[in-house]
Amino acid sequence: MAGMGAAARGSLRYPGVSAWLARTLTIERVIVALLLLFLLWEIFIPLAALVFSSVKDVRPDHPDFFNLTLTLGNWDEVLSSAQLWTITRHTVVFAFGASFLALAMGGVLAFVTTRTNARLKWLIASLVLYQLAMPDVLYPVIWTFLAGPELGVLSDWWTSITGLSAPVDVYSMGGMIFVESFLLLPLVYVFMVPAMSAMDRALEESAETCGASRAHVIRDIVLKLAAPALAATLVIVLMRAWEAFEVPWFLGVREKTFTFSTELFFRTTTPPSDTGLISSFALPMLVVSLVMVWWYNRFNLKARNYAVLSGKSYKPTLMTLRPVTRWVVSGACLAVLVVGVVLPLLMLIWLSLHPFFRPPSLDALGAVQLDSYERALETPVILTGFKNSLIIGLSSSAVVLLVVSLSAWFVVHGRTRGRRMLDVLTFAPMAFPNIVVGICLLWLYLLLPIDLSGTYLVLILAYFILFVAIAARNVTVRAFQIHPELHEAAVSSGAAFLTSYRTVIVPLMGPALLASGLYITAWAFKELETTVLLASPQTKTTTVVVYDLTGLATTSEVAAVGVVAVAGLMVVIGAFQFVARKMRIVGF
Amino acid sequence: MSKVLRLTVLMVLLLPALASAGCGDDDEPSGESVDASKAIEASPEVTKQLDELEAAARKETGPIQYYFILGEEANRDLFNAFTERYPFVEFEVSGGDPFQLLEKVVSENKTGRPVADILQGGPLEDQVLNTDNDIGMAFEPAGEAEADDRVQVEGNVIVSDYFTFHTVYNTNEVSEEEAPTSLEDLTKPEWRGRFGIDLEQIDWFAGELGHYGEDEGLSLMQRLGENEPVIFAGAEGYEQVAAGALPVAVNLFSAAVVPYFEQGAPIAFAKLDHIIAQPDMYFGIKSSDVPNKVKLFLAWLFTEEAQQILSQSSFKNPTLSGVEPPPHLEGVCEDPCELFVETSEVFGDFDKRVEQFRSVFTR
Repeated sequence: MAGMGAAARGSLRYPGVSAWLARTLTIERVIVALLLLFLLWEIFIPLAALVFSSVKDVRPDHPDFFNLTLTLGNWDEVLSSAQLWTITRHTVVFAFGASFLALAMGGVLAFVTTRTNARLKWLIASLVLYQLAMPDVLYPVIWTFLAGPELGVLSDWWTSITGLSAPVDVYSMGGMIFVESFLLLPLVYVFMVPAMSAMDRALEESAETCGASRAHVIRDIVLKLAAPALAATLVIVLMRAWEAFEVPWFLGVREKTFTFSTELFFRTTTPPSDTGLISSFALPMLVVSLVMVWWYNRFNLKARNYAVLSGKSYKPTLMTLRPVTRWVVSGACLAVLVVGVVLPLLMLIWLSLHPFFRPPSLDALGAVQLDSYERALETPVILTGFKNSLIIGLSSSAVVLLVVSLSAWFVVHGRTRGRRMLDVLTFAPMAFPNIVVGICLLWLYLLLPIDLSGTYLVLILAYFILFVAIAARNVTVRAFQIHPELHEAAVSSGAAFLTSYRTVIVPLMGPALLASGLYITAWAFKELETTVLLASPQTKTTTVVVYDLTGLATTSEVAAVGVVAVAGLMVVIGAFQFVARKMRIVGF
Repeated sequence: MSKVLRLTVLMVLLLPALASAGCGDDDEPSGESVDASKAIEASPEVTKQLDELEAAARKETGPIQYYFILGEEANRDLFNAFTERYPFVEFEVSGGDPFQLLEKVVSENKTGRPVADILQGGPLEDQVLNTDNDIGMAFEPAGEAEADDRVQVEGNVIVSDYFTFHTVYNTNEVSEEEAPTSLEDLTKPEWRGRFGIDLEQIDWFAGELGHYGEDEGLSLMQRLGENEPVIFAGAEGYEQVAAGALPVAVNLFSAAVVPYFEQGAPIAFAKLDHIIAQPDMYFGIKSSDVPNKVKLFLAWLFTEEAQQILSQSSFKNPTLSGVEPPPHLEGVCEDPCELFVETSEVFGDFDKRVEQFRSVFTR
């Protein structure tokens, strides 16, 4: 305040300065500047560390790290791998296959729950969202008991009924794509629901009135209006699949189907980490992410074309399906979810009820026991993990959502300088491997004069880096759909920017903010790589506690801990659903 | 009625006495077993060291920050017993894979903000902490002198117990006569595609190369790799052997496979001419704020009480003679079976071993 007073006194003496300040220091510019400052601290340091490390042959703790002796040795090591092209081919097929399959399933499910009057939409939405609770590390293992050639229950049933070999072998590339697509499904869904729910049925009705068939309406109106959402979702899901480790590790090893993530694991398995090599593996991802930002910018240039939430004509009505079709559509959706969500969950429970695997049968049903749950439930530490996950998840969600809601608005509708940089900085972290984020922050906060290591604050800042890109894309898509006239009308009526932001922009972004918050909070229960490096015994999250509980545990004991963790996370997801319904947000 | 009541009361009062008198002979062995920890007297040196360390540790404040790749649960009984005996000590445990924990402990020490007091691991940790960074604490527990010297390791490391790697077969799928008696057996055509190898046990691989010698070992591993083993990662393979989907698994971890025996899985250990032992290594960190608490714990590991817990609760092989081995592991490697200990020297260059393992089994 004292500073402002001085500035005011100064400006009285120099009217030219006063006018310049009034012109320059608009609230929008101040906010963009603050956002850029924060993002430079949060994103630029890991970004710089990533790029610089890739041309150094020593770790950051080496005295020579900061000299300017650079090397291309790490690049050479990456490119000289005899398996490079095989691994690249595997990764491309796996990532594209899983992404497109997840996009198809998630897009249809989001369309059904938000845009049609299909039956049991609440159940469809709940099952997709509950899939978020499934630990990524257990999901592929569960599928070996469902569709593996030796133990697969579904494979056995299929063979005994049809006499044919099972259609899906989880150890094949097709099986890996199939399993990964279900892990990506909730991400696609939470991206598509906000976009789908904002579409204006009136546009489709106009086309139908003009004689367009339903297929034409979907192709020419629905898909075109959904283009920014589809593109954003594809970009995010593709990059997630590219980095995926669990499915290639647990399912790919048997057929020797290695991807970049498993190759990186092998190359850097000897600690301390080879930061140069890890960074070199991550840099192509960074380049791809920058190309994606550039490519995505095409939608920014035509932002108004996608604005369906305007002050006049928006009418959120549903597509009316015939009575039989309503059930058929719901049945098909539920069949997909039974395969991808319900059966794995039942198998997880089944595994937890036997000391070692027994195929489901009446005999085996009579032999169930709860011994494995003793380990999971006798220690109160799992409750501490839940509490910490909730604190970190909700806090990091709040920070991420504040930043991305503002930056998305400025990127799409703002005219302030620096908005392109906002776009780049909020998307670049998509390319950061979690381990790089962990190591970078570990060093950064160990070197700061204030000891913050192991605190909630460090974990919240780490989660910001891990999830800002996903949330930013999701909220940006929603920002496309909001016509700027709504904000302009509020400002014309005398509202300050922040008032309009609070009362107009944030409520309209609500579905995307809620979906992103749910995703981040759920992942605060599941993220391991970065959290293990940064958490202290007091700030351990659920997944770290689960890791602690399952060190030498049998599959049954791991499954029991998994069931407890899934149940806890389902309660959290249920709370988000409750809020969504209170806010009348569809698709949850 | 009153007579019945009196007789009942008399019976209730006399029953414990009758039981102890009548069953005295039967109870004796179990009584011996329970009191075994007291039966093997700690040497005066051990007692003296523990007393001195206890007195010094009482003056220190703060918990022991314990970094352990297997997490808190794997050591819970050990910690509970120790804190019951020394209630002024607390543990705060951080879990994580070796990569993450070593990254943490090295970074903490290099930036001058050490946190970890103890790290528990194996040969890899020995190389990184002691050989590469010299941050291990020098300490020699008095009880170490009485421990099995086959598994003792030179340097700033304590070995109070060890793991073993075993070839295990499903008894419904393979009879005792058919079971392999050497790794060489598994290179034969009848075993093609019928045995599994855990991709996560590079320690076993390095141990085998150490046992056979580099060239012979690598040749054997290549022939195993050519016989189409089922490669798996971790627990999935244990389940497959227990369920009979995989007749044989070559390199199962002792502490992880014993629970399957305990639960009645139809599996058995193949009798090979050697097994690979991996020392369970405890490293005190020399920058610790509570060095005497650390030393007290490390010294206590060589007491009968700790060794019993390591053996019977954690299913690790104790190093103190006279302590009962873990259930199901007794006699698994009797003469002429050789226990081959894999140290960091045997392991050699880690990156090279990883690359060899990959090229043999994953390409």
